[in-house]
Amino acid sequence: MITVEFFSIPKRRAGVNELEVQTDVPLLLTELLAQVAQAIPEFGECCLDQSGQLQRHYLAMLDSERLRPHSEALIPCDSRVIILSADVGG
Amino acid sequence: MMSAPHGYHGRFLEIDVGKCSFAWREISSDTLRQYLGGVGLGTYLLNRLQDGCVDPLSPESILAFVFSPLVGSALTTSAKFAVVSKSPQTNRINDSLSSSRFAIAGKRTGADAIVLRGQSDQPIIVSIDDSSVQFLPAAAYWGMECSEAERRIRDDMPASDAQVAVIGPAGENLVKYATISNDGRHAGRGGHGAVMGSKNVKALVVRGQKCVTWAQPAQLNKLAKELSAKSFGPATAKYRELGTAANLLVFNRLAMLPTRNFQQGQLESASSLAPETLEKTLRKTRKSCAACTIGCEHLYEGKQGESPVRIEYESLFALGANCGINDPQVVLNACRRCDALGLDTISTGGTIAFAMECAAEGLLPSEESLTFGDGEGLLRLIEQIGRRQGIGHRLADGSKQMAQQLGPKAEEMTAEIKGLEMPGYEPRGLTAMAVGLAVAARGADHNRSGAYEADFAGDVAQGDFKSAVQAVIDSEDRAAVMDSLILCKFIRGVLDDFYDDTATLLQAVTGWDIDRAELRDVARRIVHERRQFNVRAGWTPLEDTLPTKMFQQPVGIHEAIDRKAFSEAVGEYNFRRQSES
Repeated sequence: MITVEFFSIPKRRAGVNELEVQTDVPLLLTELLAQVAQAIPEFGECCLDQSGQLQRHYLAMLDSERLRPHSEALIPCDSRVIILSADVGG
Repeated sequence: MMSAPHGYHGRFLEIDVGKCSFAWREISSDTLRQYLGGVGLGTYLLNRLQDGCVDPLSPESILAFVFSPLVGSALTTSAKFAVVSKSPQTNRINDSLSSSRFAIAGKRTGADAIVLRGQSDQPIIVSIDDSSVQFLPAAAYWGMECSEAERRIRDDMPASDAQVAVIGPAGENLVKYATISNDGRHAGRGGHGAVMGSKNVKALVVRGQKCVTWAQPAQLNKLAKELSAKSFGPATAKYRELGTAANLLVFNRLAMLPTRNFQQGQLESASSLAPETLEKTLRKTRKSCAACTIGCEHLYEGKQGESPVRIEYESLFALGANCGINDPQVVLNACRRCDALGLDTISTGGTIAFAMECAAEGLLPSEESLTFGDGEGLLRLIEQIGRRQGIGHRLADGSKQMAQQLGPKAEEMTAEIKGLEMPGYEPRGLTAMAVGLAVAARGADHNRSGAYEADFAGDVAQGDFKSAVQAVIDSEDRAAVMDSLILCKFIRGVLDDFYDDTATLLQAVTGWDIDRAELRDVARRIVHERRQFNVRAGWTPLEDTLPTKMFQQPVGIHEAIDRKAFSEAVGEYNFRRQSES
């Protein structure tokens, strides 16, 4: 299982604080996002582009490090991915 | 008089409030093209009108209100102005931006900048109506809080469209982090309000009819429509729907919400302060600055009868988490009182948080029963600071000066850079931002360097200080252009290519054949000019560092900063900036 936590605008679009994605194997970010979009279509419509990547206004992080679009890095099971608005200005 | 470029008047107004005299001074087209306006032009004027060693609270100091070529155009977020002076808190350059109708009315006086110098022997209002300047008695308004003073002065002016910038009791009492309030907004950081108070100027009132011309009006309107349309999109959704306060839960989750004077990175029950919670329990209204289509202001009503208060992330961090407080009513009230007194919320919260840690360590007299989480104590101290009463008199000078009086142990507990209290970005979790904060010309500064963007974008890995240097330079350069044009930084996400897009805007306004390369040169010139003022004011590279605790204590999951790697990066930054000049 990979837990996806939503913050800021992605949370508003998803309508939930987090989502548990059931998987027994590590996933690419693209694969994870596809499963999230399947579970929460509103999130997919608002936050993903046509190629299934996060729009540039949003980003994903794993252990305080950004997960880049098209990354070949696998996200381990039992990890927690954070999706937030890219602009953290304040 | 020479003809001014489109977008400009080509002159500034220099007012001596001690002599009740004024003079119009020309600004050459070359100078305007080299420094643009806002922060850039203000720094240019500061360097030429004031010696670096002048006491910022003396009559010799200047206080410059600087407009920009874009003000008055239909471009969204362009109704901004810069206030530039030497900071009484840092004794270094200080520039603050504010957005309101004051910018539009100020430019309509026919000035690209209004410079105050001297010291009146009694409280006055400086009123500029087109080209005429009046010095009006202000005794009746002295002591009034910001919003009341602004309203009363505006009501008492013969013209109904006058715009007013005022100081509150904090500015009158020379609190070193006092603000200048205008239209409910504040030129906040570094103590411009104290500089204005030292001149015995309660308010600057502006109105006028002098409009500038635009080089390509049709093109400018087209660009303005396009920018406005983009500003309604997802790039600004965070600001529109939640405001800057949306950062709170993000930073708390990442253990980067500075808490209890930067001793921790997470606040228990932080969600109680989050906008997602506040909007469920409190009545909320949204506002926009003048000429802005984003609408990032989120105002929350408190208990019955209390006026709505604008909530920003930095205020929630400084008066909430940093003081260990998670009661939203207390934090809202603290923000309201800072606004009323004319206090910078970041430095107010930072100084009080420092005092709370000092109290916990037994460094303050026992009768000063300060503890983290003490909401009543926070509110009491804010009043005392604004009026320089009791212990507030010492706190009003900021945490650095107070620590110097308390001794070395206290100095190790401060969270400030060059005397300016830290904003709510945790350097131990943000490598590029750590360098950006340390080298910033006005002290701990999240606006003249937004290097955290490189951290979040993944361009700079945690602990990779070598990569941080270029990210900081790039971020500072972009900010120098934005803060001189002036455009709100919240619009930056909608620009496809920062330098190309801003050059296109400037071309339509001025008619200059300016391109991205020239704009980059302008940015470097402005950064260099800011550094030069600091050199003349006594800056040394040793100032470009972080609070001691950043090198000694880990915070949450984030390690203490490697002092050697960090120092090398700062040295590299200063070498490269020096090489550019």
